[in-house]
Amino acid sequence: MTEKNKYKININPKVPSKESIKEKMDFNNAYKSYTHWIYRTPWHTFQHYASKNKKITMMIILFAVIAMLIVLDYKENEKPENTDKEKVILKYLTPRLSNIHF
Amino acid sequence: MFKKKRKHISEEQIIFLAKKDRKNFNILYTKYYERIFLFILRRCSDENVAADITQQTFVKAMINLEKFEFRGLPFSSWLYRISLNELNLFFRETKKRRSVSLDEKELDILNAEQTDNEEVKEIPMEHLIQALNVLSEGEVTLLEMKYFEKRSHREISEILGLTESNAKVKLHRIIKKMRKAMA
Repeated sequence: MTEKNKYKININPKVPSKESIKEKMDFNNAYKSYTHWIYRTPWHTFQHYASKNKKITMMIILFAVIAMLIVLDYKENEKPENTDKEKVILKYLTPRLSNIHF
Repeated sequence: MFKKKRKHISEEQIIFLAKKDRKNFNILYTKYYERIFLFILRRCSDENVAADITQQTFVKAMINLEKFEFRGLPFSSWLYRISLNELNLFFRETKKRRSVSLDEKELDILNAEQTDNEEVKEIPMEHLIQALNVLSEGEVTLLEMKYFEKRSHREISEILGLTESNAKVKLHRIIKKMRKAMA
């Protein structure tokens, strides 16, 4: 946007009549919108009325929780590897197919 | 002829009633919708958009009515402030240019402020438009309120949430800035 046309200038604008304004405005519509469930949900109030700081804080908390859950899940799935001693014992205990004679 | 005695209800009482039951907000709505509509129309220059934003302003006012505390200031100031916020939101979302409505009859006071020299009586409209481009949106809002809508310093300060002296100082600086731009 150039500096020259920063604002749209209206010279001597037409003022609408009282009747035409009245036609456009209706309290019942506004009241309907006010009572609509979407305005009553906590998500709506958070989305539209929470401050930027609050939103950023909530995002950070959300990411931290997700990251923690991923780490916990990864740790649960990770099986502990056998130690060297256990490996030797297992090696001698497991029957070898070649030694079995029928 | 007997005239029915009308019981006068103050604005504070109406707000109290509206807080209890939002259907009572109808009284405030019918009192202010026209003023708010024209206030918005001056800044967006589209009647349908102005009607939508006005409606949204009243919905927001109904939602946040509990937060409103009556401190002797007119309720309209609070509504004007909400409508300004809604307008800013609209321009940010749609990326449309903000409108400035200039009435040639209303420009006399501004011309008088702009010219120190008494010989120069009128400033060409083009120069004024050029000077407006130098100002930020907030500054234009302040200028509009004072010179085009002829609001008092007190009312401006109530709407914009400034002190009266701060509003005066800001206006003085804006005039200075415009003079510099026109020179």
